[in-house]
Formats: sequence, C-alpha cells, structure tokens
Amino acid sequence: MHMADALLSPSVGTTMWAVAAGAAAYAAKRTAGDELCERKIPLMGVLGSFVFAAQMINFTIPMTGSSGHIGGGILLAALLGACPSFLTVVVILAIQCLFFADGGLLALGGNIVNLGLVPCLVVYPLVYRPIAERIPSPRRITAASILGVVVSLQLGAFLVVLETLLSGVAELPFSAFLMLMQPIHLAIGVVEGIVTASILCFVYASRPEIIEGAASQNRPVSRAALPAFAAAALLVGGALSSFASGLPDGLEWAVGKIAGSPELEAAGVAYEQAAEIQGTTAIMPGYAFASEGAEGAENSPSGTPVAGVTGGVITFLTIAALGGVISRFRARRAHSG
Amino acid sequence: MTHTSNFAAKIRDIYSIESISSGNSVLHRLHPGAKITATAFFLAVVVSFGRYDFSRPVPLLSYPVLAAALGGVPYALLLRRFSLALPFCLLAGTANLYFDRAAAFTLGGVAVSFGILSLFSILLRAFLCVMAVLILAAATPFTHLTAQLERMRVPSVLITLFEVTYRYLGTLIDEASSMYTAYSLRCGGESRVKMRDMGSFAGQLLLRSFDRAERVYAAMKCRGYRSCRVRQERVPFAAADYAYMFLVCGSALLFRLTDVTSAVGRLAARLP
Amino acid sequence: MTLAVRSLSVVYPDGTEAVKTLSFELGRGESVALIGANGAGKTSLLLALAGVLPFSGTAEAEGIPLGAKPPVGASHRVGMVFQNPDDQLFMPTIFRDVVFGPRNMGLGDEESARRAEETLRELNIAHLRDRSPLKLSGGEKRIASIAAVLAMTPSFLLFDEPTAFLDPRARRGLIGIMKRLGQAKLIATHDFTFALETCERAILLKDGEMFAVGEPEALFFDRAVMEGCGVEEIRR
Repeated sequence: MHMADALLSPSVGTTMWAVAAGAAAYAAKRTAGDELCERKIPLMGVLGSFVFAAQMINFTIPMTGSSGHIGGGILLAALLGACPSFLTVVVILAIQCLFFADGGLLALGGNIVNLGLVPCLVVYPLVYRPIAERIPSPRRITAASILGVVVSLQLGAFLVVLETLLSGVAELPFSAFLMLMQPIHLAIGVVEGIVTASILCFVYASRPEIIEGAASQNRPVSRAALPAFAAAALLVGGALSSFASGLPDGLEWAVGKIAGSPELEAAGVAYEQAAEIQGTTAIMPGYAFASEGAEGAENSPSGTPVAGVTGGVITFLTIAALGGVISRFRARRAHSG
Repeated sequence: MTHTSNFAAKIRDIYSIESISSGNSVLHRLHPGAKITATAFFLAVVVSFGRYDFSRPVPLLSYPVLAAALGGVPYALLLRRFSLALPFCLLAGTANLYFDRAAAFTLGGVAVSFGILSLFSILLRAFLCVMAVLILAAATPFTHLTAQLERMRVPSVLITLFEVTYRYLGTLIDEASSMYTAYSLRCGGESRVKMRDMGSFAGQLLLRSFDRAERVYAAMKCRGYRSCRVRQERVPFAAADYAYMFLVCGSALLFRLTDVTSAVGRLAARLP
Repeated sequence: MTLAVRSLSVVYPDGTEAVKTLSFELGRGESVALIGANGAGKTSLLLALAGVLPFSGTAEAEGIPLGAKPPVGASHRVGMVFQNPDDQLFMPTIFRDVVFGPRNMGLGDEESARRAEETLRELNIAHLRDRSPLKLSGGEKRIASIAAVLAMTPSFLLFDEPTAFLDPRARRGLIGIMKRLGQAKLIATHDFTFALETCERAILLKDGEMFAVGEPEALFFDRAVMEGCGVEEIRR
C-alpha cells in the first residue's frame, strides 16, 4: 500500500506531508514528555527493526497458495502505545523510502498518514484499546487485533484511493478503484489480523508481563487531539490545495512576474539563434495550453508528437552517453589515483 | 529467488547503499541540506508535469544520470532498486491504458492512445522520482543525514529512533534469517513459514527483540543517555552547495517550462 | 581510587535475590576476576555497580556513592563493557558510538569529537571510525566497545565476559589491551586462563553470595573450591 511519487500531485503530496509532520511533532512531544521515554526509545528502535525484519517473512495462507506478510501498525501500537508506535512507523517508512525505494519521498507524508496515523493514532485508541487493554485475555486480544487491523487497512486503502484520485494522475474511476481496493484489503486485513493476534497471544502466553505492562503504561491519545487533527488537516488541505493546484501555472506566473513574460527575453544579436529556438518552444502548443487554463494543460499531450518522440530518444541517448563517459572517466581516475 | 536468499539479498541491499554513501566524491562532500533541497525541488517539478507529458520530462533524466556518475553510484544498483518500485506504478499505469483509449495521434501508422501516453509518462516520472531519492541516500552518509535532520529541528526523539532502528536492521534481519533456516530445515527444505507457525516464529523474534532492547537500554544508560540531546551547530552552505542547488533546481525549472525534447526532435528533422 | 562495596544486595521485581549482601574492595589499578556459574549473580552485580539496576547497601568510590549522577563534564566513575558488543554499539558508525558518551556528559561537539578521535587512536582502531558495527569482526567490535566506554574516562571498568565472541588471535590482543589499561577492573568471566593472565585477585560467587576470594593461582587449580562454587577447576 506504499504510494509512489509519480501517482501524486504536488498539492496532495504537500498536504499529506503537512498532516504527517504535525502528527509527528505532536507524537514526539508526547513521547519525550513521558517519564518512561528513556526506556522506551531503545525498545521503539529495536521493535522498529523487528517489524522491518518480520515484514520480510512471507507466510503461506492456507487454501489460497498465496503468501502474506505482516504490516505492523497495530502490533506496535499494542506493545508501545499510540504515540511511540506512530513514531516507530514513521522511521520504518522513512527508511523504506530512502534506502529501498519503497514509497516515494513526496508520498512519504501520505504513507505516514495511511500506514501510521490511521492504525496508531486513530484505530488503536478507538478500537484496540477499549477491547483488549482493560482486561487482557487471549480472546480479547484476538478480537481486538483482527478488528483493529481490518479497520486500519480499510481506512488506509480508502485514503489511498482518495489521494490517488485527487491527484488526477491515474485515470481510474472512483467506484472501480474502490471496488478493487476495499475487498482486497479486507482479505489482507483478516489474514494480517489473525497473524498479529497469534503473535500477541504468543507473547502473552510466554511473558504476560509484557502485554500487561504495555496495557498499563500506554498513555491514551488526548481526547482533544483527534478532532483537532481532523480540523487542522482540512484547513491545511483546503488552503494548500487552492494555492498549489495552480502550481504549474503558479510557476509560470512567478516566472512571468520576474522576467516580464513567460519567454525569457534576451537582447543582443548573439542570442538571436537561441532566442529563435526558445521562441519556438515557448509558443509550442503544449505550452500555450497552459495559458488557456489548467484544464487544457492537464488533458492534452504536448505539441507535435513526432518531435516529442524523436526528441525524446535523442535526448535520452545523449544523456546516457554523457553518463557513460563520466563514469568511465571516474573509474579510470580511481584506478590510476 | 529462494526465501533464505531473500534475507541475504536484503542485507546486501543495506550494505551496498551504506558503503557507497561513505564515498568521497564531489557529490558526497556537498552539504546535506543542499542535496535534500535540490531533491525535494526536483521531485516537485517532476510530479507537476501534466498527465500526458511523455516527452517533456525526458531531459530531467540528466540529473540522476549525471549525479550518479559524479557520485560513483553504480547504475546497476539503481536499476535494481527501481525494479522493486515498479509494480504499483505499472498497475496504475496499466489501468490508464484500459480506461483511456481515445487515440491521441498516429505514429508510423499505429494509433497511440492517451492511455499509452499516460502510462509512459507515469513510468518515466516514477523512474525520475525513485532515482532522485536513491541518489540522495547513496551520496549522503547516514550520519550527515541525521545531522541535517537535527539542524532542521526534527525532534531529537525521532532522530535517536532513526539511528537505533537503522543500526539494528541488519542484526534483526540476520536473526530472522537464521531462525528461518532452522525452521525450514525442520520442514524438509525450502518452504515458507506456515501461517499457523507465524505466531511462535515471529513471537520468538519479538521476545528476543525485547531482551535485546533491554540490554541496549542498559548500555545507553551506562553511557549517560538521557532523552535530551545537544543541538547540532549550524553549518553554512558553501559556494559549491549554492551552485549545485542552482544547477539542479534551475535546470529542472527550465525543462519544466520549455519543451526541449520537441525542439531537439524538430532540429533533428531539419538536418539532411 | 578505591572502590568499596558494603552489603550490596540486588533483588529483582519478581523477588529473585540475585546478589546477597556482598562486600569487597577494589584497590587502585587492581584487576579482579569475578567467577561463578551461570546465574551466580555476576552480571547483576556488574549492572548494579554500573547504575542500571537498583541495589541496597553501599558502593562508594573514595567515599562518594556510585549511584549519584556526576556533575556535567565530570567523568563517570564506572564504565561497563557488555558481553555482546552488538548491544553496546548501538549507533550507525563506530565514531558516532564513541562520541555518544562524551556528548551525554555535556562536553560539547568539538571536545567530544576530540576525545573520541583520541580514544580511537590509542586503541589503534582509528581506521574503523566510519564503519558500521554490522561489518566488523568480533575482535574489532570488542575493541570498539571498549573505546566507547573509555572515551568517558571512567575510574573503574567493569567487564562482562570480555572474551566471548573472540577468536584466539583477538583474545590475545584483548589481553594486551587489558594489561595496558591502568584503571581498576572487575572482570566477570568463564575464561580462567584469561583471568590468570590479567587478574591479581579472584572473587568466586555462588548463588549471589561470596563463596571464596583469593589469588587466581591458588583458587583455579583447587578442585574442592571450584566445584563447590559450581564451576570446574583448571588442570595443570
């Protein structure tokens, strides 16, 4: 469910980043303020790596022949509490994004919200805690885990659909996309929920003090926080969207303001040839569509397609060749140096 | 690929980026803040292209290609990582193929639909985004990254967490790997973990993690660990850092606003 | 500096008495081996002296209680080297790990870095500075973990099974380092020949209590004493 950059628009990406950053700042403050913080940080770190490693363990799902792997949001929340588990998920997602290209950097905000905020800060306090933490027992843990994971994945998947559609990159009709995502994630949720439950029950059977300790130590997210989050998200989202949706045009507007016109004018005979090419490109149909309004630019391909294709091939080959030359040059320097 | 070699491959992945990031190229020596800014700007420009812009983003390839060459990051590694990021984009793009079938133009007698254009555009832009982020990670030592995050006022709780998690990735994956080997040997060879065994398998790993965390906590406490940290001093940008940002952001902007690709194509058409 | 321990007891939350009213002293520069079967209380004693586990009784260095937090900038009295270097080296690079302690002492970035570099040089591992602990050999990790502790200039050193995870060559190197370290040391170990080469005295623990104390030469070859303590004597 990790989203990629290429499927997001700048406005949706930045909005989600704002929400994620706000939530992270809040969670960091809460965690740092906890007297047990000192002890929790190494635990959060090691459990973060644990989830990472555990996600690599593919297990077979009986009767289907396919394999699954655990997510970790609810599992971490049950062991660490809302805010610490959220921070742990933030770090896991950041590492996956930077070092494993699993989810884009621009999309990281969205992924943090879908895979971190939802299970740890919303579903855990509202679903898991009431069921399993007052009086832990294997049955309650199982019920809470399955329900918690299912709800988290449903919400998360729904948000992915929403974010993808609002970005307008993928041409998927809302209902079709929804019909695809929700049932799949329901199935995934049930499976993952069962596995999460069995892990927690195993821990409860071997070392009950871990589960009971977690239950008593995990501080609830403050009652005011959740509605405040939602309100802030809407506010920020609305403001950013109205500003950023015109971003490509915004860029050209800015350039226009600075240079006096979208085409960068340059005086002097020496620049004439360059200006000619620039002039051609500047009044290219694709570029001209921008002045027609966002609609036009968004929904039509740029200019003469043949020029685009041949130009693309030539540009690509040139760049690749340049890259090869530089690499070889470096390698030779490294050998001799 | 067998399951055990999955673990080994993952550990190799972590090591490979790490060893490259400790290199000493021009790119490595740049201020991490400059690299982060340039990458973020680059990403914003890439995703701002229109849905059907299949050729205009091509010149932007110059950034990852040249940066990788300058930074000594092997192309093979980058391509391998991209192949892992491919599936989701491919899925979404293929949906476009299906839903967006109106013909945009014909090329050599073949009708090219809008769907094909958007698929290509998505893939190209996905490639650019993934490459930019990987190069950032590969050309910036991990400790520079965390130091920069501290300067950017990221909460210290998060930074310590980042460091400890990153540090123990390899260790935990190692443990999981040997546990898995032991498991599979008792299951008559290579097989995935059965779902009903996941509880105790992952549960064992989890308990061991708890114990490890206790020991790490003790070790940290013995060395005076308290949650608050010393703030990183501000390190100013050098001329090279400004030059780098100007070059990357400026050229990205240029390629966004002007259709260089089509110009090249038309130029080529003019040649005899 | 002398370390004086009087009636020290460690009791875990579940009631287990890991250490029962132990009393002993560590003289200036003295190396003392702590011997005992698994579960005898060695690690618990070390963790209590290191300030990680709460204890009753007193432990003082030159009259000042060990439990008290040293003022900012002052050295920690006690440095502990853990059994598994992987638990001790918790930072992404060796340098970051060695600089961790001094920074937490409030020494500031520059001074901490200087101390770290100096310590790495003294132990001849400056070349491991930017390496990740994941990729080091057992011996390298062991020396790095010692460096991480030494950077805080402790007066006393505690070692928990220092030769664990070491091959013979690395073990030999460790003996050399131990002999060069001037601090007083308390070394919990199963490696009797190691203790013979590095320690002047040995304390034998059984079930959390002091079973015997004396010179290693005298104790380690005495079957009655060693078996009574739950370990095996060394054959000549």
